Amino acid sequence: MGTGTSQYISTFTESWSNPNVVPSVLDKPKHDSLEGFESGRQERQRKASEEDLYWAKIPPNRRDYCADHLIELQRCRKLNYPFLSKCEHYKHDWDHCQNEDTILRMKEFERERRLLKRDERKRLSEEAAME
Amino acid sequence: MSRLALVRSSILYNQVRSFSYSRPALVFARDFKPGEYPKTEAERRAAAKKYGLRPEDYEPLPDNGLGFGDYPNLGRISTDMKSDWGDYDDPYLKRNFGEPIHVVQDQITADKVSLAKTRVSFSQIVFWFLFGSFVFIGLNYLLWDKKCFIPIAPKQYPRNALSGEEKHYKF
Repeated sequence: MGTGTSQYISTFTESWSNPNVVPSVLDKPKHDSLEGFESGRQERQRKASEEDLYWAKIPPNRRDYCADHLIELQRCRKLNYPFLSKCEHYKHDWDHCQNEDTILRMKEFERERRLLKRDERKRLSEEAAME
Repeated sequence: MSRLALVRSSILYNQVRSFSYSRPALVFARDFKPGEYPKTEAERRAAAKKYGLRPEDYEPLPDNGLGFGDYPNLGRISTDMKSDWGDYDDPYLKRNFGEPIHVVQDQITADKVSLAKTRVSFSQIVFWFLFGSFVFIGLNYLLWDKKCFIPIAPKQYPRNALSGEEKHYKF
């Protein structure tokens, strides 16, 4: 069992033992997104507009930051049907984008978790100092 | 014999006339109708002779008010416990001519209830059922508020960033 596994397990064992250290999986993060970044952060962009998504008939659950690649993939598939193996390049681009998005979500989770732990440490040290 | 001969009671009257499958299984045979519970030795011997049993084999069903009379108790042996390879006159009932019929023979034929001893006793069944149910309910009770989840932040959609409440950044 490496650090990854133990960290994975500790996220939900801590949800039972120490709940105010665990970030929420459903809600927005409690801390400011720009906290700690002196030089700021780049904003995420999507080049496709709402109208493009409408005409491409992309379902709402796929209208995320990877929808640009998805539109290109669907266009390629429509043009090349039934020879869909010709669209592997676009598919790889879309898959890569999704992978990066997932890694970004994991990083956001971990950032939130460390900030919460830091708050907890501060709180405990203040309480210890007060006694 | 007409269909009116079918009797809806737990006492079967012996099949003595034919063994073909086109006739109803019950054939009225007043010779084998049970009489009063035997109290004297002579009554016992007569009852044994009536049913085709030896006097030392004959044991009447208990006189407990259920109305069996002097019908014999042929033991907890159902049809599927009898040998499949015996040479029977009636293969369905696994019975030879003149052999007495069990009181509840219609329930214990080979395609119905079996009286064989089960591998698992009733108390074992009850115990394991209750054990499993309490374990299931107990685990639910203890872990109801405990959650298990994939440790990942929620997915970010651009439509939420357009309204200005959230802002989505790269790392």
